[in-house]
Amino acid sequence: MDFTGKTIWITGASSGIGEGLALAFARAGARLVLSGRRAEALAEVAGRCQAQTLLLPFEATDLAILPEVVAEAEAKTGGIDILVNNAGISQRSLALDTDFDVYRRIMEVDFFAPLRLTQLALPAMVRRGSGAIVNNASVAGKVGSPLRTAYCAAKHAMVGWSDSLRSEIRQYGVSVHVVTPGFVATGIAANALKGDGSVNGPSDDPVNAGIGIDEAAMQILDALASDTPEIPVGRPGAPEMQLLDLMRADPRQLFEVMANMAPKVAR
Amino acid sequence: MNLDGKTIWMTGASSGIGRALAIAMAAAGARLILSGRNESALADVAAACPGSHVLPFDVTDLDALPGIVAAAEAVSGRIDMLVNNAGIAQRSLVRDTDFQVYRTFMEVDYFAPLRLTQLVLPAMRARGDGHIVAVASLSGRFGNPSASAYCGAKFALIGFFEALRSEVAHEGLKVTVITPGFIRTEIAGRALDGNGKPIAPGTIGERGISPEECAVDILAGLAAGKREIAVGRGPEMALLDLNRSNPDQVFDMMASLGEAIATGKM
Repeated sequence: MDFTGKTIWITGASSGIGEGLALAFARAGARLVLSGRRAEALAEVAGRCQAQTLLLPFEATDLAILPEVVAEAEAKTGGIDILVNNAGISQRSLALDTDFDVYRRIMEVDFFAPLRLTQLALPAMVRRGSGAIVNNASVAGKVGSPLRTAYCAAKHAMVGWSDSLRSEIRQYGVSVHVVTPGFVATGIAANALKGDGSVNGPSDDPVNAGIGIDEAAMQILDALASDTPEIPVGRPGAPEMQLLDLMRADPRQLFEVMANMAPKVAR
Repeated sequence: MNLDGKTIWMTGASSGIGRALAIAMAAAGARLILSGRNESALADVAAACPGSHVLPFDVTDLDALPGIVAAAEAVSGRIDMLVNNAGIAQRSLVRDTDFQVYRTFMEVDYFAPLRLTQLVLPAMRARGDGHIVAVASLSGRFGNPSASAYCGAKFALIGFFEALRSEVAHEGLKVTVITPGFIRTEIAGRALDGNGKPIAPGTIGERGISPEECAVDILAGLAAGKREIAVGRGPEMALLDLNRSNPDQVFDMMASLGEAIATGKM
């Protein structure tokens, strides 16, 4: 996959991995559509992108406006080549302390919103016979881990839907990529929801110690360039990245490892 | 695992895997609470499960669940095992599937068992003993065509229960995920099309093992203390291993299948 002259639409582009991707795709010669809720933060990121950039702020979970948003993105750019569903929200709470509504909220943001956006952006790609959907999931989309029951469910859902989608649309020349980042130094832990739906606040040490957003973006671009369907992102050999390998090599052992993590986080 | 004298609550107990599993568990000495929507079908199952109790409800009426859980706990004073078995399957391509159908699948195959589990857990936790079983699918482990909503919901179910297991194992609570392959039940006939309508209700799938064989394998897996039980004896089961050793090859196989379906070759 070559990014030169391609129109790439990134959600959650105002910070974190989305910001890193915007800067990296711009350097690679792409044209950008940057989305997120915060117009000012998007404009700030756009100011650092050496690329033709369209700012398209919207609330990802307001699904009713999405048809208009997609129409605007397509009309103003002449067509979307790559849609990067990057916006998402995490969780830091035990299942026993988590309100049911938090499960709904996280499924809405991390699954239904990118699904609906994809459903609306896909027909033009299929008609054109080219395009790519890049869904930013998580290691938590492959491995169940404590304090993240709602997040694991929503990210697993994203992976399952993406894998099914890929099986149906490859024949039209449209590819589907699933990104599974481990720890990347972003605001994801600080912005995560607690059991009562309030914002977590402080970040986590493992997140703070993660790779930088530029490194994460570089890993993603490299893997997309070689058309990799599933893209792990993180420090090679880091503990959370080893979990991905263990899940494949010996899931029983993985379940053991995860269960042994639980007492450390229980009240 | 000794099921003798245990109180086991089964959803989707009126037919298929739920029915066969309930009967097998009752034969092993368990006391069954049988749930589903079809009261007369549940009564038929109850006749084959000595000492069982019928508790019909609609799994997606989440507001009613606290009262239903209280009623289930009152039957024998405790729930030893909850089997989240109720679920629906899908048969429609992404291009033909209404967005609302994705919500329906997530509601039935994920939110309903999640909410039920959330309500049953506190008493188990207070006792320091209990077992939650979730019947997922091979489609909860790898993506396949004509099942984008089903894969989404079944993956979600597995992700939730794996994460839950990691949190509650140290408190003495067990979580088991079951991933059936092809079983000769009504699930394929009841599968929803892209508009949310069942494609051929009342028909029984012709592929795979019988629900009774499936129940035997699940009970053996539970007795062996497995955390994940793959059930089936056909070639589809090999895809589980392939998905771990070489996921790219599964993606390729599934894409070939997707093309065959979309172009009417199968």
